[in-house]
Order: sequence, then structure tokens, then C-alpha cells
Amino acid sequence: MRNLREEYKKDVKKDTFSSEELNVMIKHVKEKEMLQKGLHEERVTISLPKKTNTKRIVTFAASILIVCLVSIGMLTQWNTGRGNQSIPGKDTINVTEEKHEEGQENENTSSAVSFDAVLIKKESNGGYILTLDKSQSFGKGEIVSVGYKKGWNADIEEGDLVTVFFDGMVRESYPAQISASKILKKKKPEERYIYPLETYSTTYYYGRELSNCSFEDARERAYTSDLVIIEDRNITKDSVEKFESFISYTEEGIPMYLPVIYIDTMLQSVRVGQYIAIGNEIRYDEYDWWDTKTNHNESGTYQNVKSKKIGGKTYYYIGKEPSEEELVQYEKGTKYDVKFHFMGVK
Amino acid sequence: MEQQKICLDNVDCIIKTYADMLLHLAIAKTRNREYSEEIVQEVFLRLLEYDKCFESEEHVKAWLIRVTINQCKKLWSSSWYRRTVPYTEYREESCEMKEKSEVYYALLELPEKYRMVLHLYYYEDMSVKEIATMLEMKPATVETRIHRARALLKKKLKGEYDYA
Repeated sequence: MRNLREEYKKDVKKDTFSSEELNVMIKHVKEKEMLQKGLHEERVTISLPKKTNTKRIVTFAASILIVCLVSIGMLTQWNTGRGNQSIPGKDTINVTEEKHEEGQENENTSSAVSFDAVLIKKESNGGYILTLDKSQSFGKGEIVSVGYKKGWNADIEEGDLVTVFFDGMVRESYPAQISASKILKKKKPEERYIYPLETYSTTYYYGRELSNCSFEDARERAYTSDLVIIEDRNITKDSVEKFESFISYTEEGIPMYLPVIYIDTMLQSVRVGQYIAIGNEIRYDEYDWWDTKTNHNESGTYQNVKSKKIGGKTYYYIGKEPSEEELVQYEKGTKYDVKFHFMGVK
Repeated sequence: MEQQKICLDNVDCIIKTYADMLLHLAIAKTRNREYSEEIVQEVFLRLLEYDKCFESEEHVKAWLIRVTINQCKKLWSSSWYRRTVPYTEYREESCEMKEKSEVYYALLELPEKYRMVLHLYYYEDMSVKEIATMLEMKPATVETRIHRARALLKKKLKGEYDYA
């Protein structure tokens, strides 16, 4: 009779780092640590400069002189009707000046910082948005809480592409908060219905017999492969932006209608990646995105699952409320019916 | 042993001592060599960032195992990983590289929670109590998992083995 422990040990030991690999790793770890230390020291040096009194006076005088010169320059430009142009050599905030759809408010937005985002949650005095690209204020794929006292335009809905204008002030919280002066809907490219001609990739993540589980247990169990069904499909379409809505079912047979944010551009892809139903309630969802530029995976969570009762059944969805017809249609349809709305191909 | 903080001077020794152990653990968890290498590197980076002192060698080892498991979970939770690590491919590549016994593959085919417990039990020679502490679960749960994992292995394995 063979000893299982010994056989397993023998096999496991076949996977080892070579001395070369180890040296590379040691070098890499050290370099990264030294780089971090170096940056830290640099920050300290900058924040605590040693200056003599004379130097301080000279610096102060020079600062005042620069401010005066800049002010004079701006005044001159304004007088000559060139107020909207940036001052050469000055490090200014990148101002986006885009022409928006006709019929939208015509306000002076040139003084505001703007960026494009997807509206993921709409509330009475603001909501949550997901940034699309790296800007002066945010990175790609960041969730930002937006205060918008002015109130939403009726045509803006969750899942829409929007341009957000704000004063450049970002409150350091999680998620980051800004106060928008204006939010405009971006014109969508023509929509295309592509399914089932082209496939995509997604992972369905179900929990079995979760009715008596606590949320923490369910989440833990969801990490283990024996309690979930995973179904993968491959993406065959590259570099597209899209929003998809699909119906899925929990192991208990509860249908979930899930409009999914899926942005698959040259830069990043975003999607809802995980949902767990506990009994008759969805308690957790996670979205993540793969940044193909930095080759790094990012993830975050938000809980915004709503429910709707039709004919004694409860349907769950995220984002825009589906119509009864849509739900009934999905219920009768196949399990993985998917409707893509292409936002344009880059 | 005096309390010690890991720094650049002694990180070489730590990496050389524990790199393989963590690689084995990460492979048992993720079933992917490339991901496991990245995880191990990430763990050592975190070790250098760790502010507190370690009380003993065992403390260092326990910390490294715990962080490796967490890093694997983090990877597992990403859908990118879920959709890009077909086990069959790993197995094929692995077979080509180094021949391994049916025990190894049978164990890797087990569900993740059983793999982890069995790896720590068989490879690291940890006791049920130690595994329970490491994985933050009750000893009874660990025992149940070992028992169930063995039952699954018995179904998979053709040869006769001593499972102790």
C-alpha cells in the first residue's frame, strides 16, 4: 500500500522556483521597496524644506511678482477678447470643450473641469458615476459620488454615457465626492442588436442552498468552487463599448434581471461579475474590470439591487427597472438570452 | 527569539526559505503556476510593508500562509481569473513539463476548500488545530473537510493508498 502523503509531497516538490527565478524576485521586491522608500523620502524633503529667512523673503517676493504678472496677462487677454484661451506655459487644468446635442442648455462650461462617465445610480440630488478614462481628477473606472442639486434632465437614465462638469474640487472620501455644476447626456452612436451572432464572456456565479446562510458565509462559500456553477463564454468582439441586460437564475430558480455595465474599449472593460442570492434575496454584488492598458484587475462592490413583484414572483434587477413584458419575455425565454446595445465600435 | 521586523537586509533569507512553500500553497489554491508566482511575489512585497514585528519563525510562516491564502482569494474573486484559468489547460501544460502521479492530479481536481485543507494537512504536516487556526474555522469543520476530501479521493484514485 502506497503512502498518499509521501506521494503528494514528492509531486508538489517538483514545482519549485529556480535559483534564477528567486534572484529575479528578490531583485524585484527590493527595487520596488527602495522605490517606495525613495518616493517617501522625497515627499518628506519637499514638505520640510530648510530655508533661511532671506531665502523665504526672496521666495515670497518672487511669488507675488509671478501672481501679478499672471493677473496682468489674463486681464490683457480678456480685454482683447481672447479670454477662453489658456495661458502658454501655465500648468492649467485640462478643460474639455465639447459640442453637445442640440437643444441642451447653453451655459458657460469653459471654466469647469469635465470628464466622461457612465451613470450607474441615479438619486434625487445626485448619484454615482463610473469614470471611463483617466483624467486630471480621477483614474479609469473609478466610482464617484456626484452631488447635483440642479436636478437631472429627464432624458438621463442609469447606464447612460454622460459628461460631468464640476469645479475641480474632489472631496477625499470613498467613493470620492464631487459637486457637479452640469451633467449632460452624451449622444449615443447608433445601436446594434448583435446577439446571438457574436459571443461574449461572462461568469455566472450561483450559491446552492443558501437559504440558511449568513451573508458572510454565503460570500465565503461563493469563493469555493464546489458551491458555484461557473459558465464561461469567450469574447470574440474586441474593443467595443456596450451595455448588456440579461436574465439569470439562481440555483433556487429565482430569475434575476441584470442590466450590466460592460465597457470593453481599448482601455478597460467593466461588468458586474458576481451575484449571490440568499433565499429570496440578493445580498451582494460585485463588479470588476480588467484594465488592458495596465494589465491589472480592479474590483469594487455596490449594493443597489431592487426587486419587483409580478404575479406572485419577485424579480431582482440592478439599475433601470425593466418592464413587465421584458421580465415575462425573459422568463419564457432561454436561460441565457442576452441583448447587447452597442455604444459604438472603436 | 527576539522580536524582529522584516527589512531589506533579511528579506533574501526569508524569500529563499519560504518562496517554494508559498508557491506550492498558491498552486494548490489556484491551480496555475503563473498566477501563483505573481501571488508569491506580491506576498513578499506585503511582507516588507508590514509594520509590526514578528515574534518567531512560526509567526512569520503563519503570516505568510495567511496572506498567500488571502491573495489567492482576491484573485479568485475576480471574474478575469475565473474566465481565464481553464484547469484542463493547466493540467496539460503541467503534464508536459513534469510528470506527476495520479494523487497530485486527483487532489488538484478536488473543490478548492478541500484542496486547501488537504494541502496543509499532507504537505505542511499541520495538525487539525493548526489548520483551523490558519483558515479561521472550527477544528470540527476541518476534520469534516478532511474526511470528505479523503472520501472523494478514494473515488478518484485507482491504486490503494494509506490516507493517514
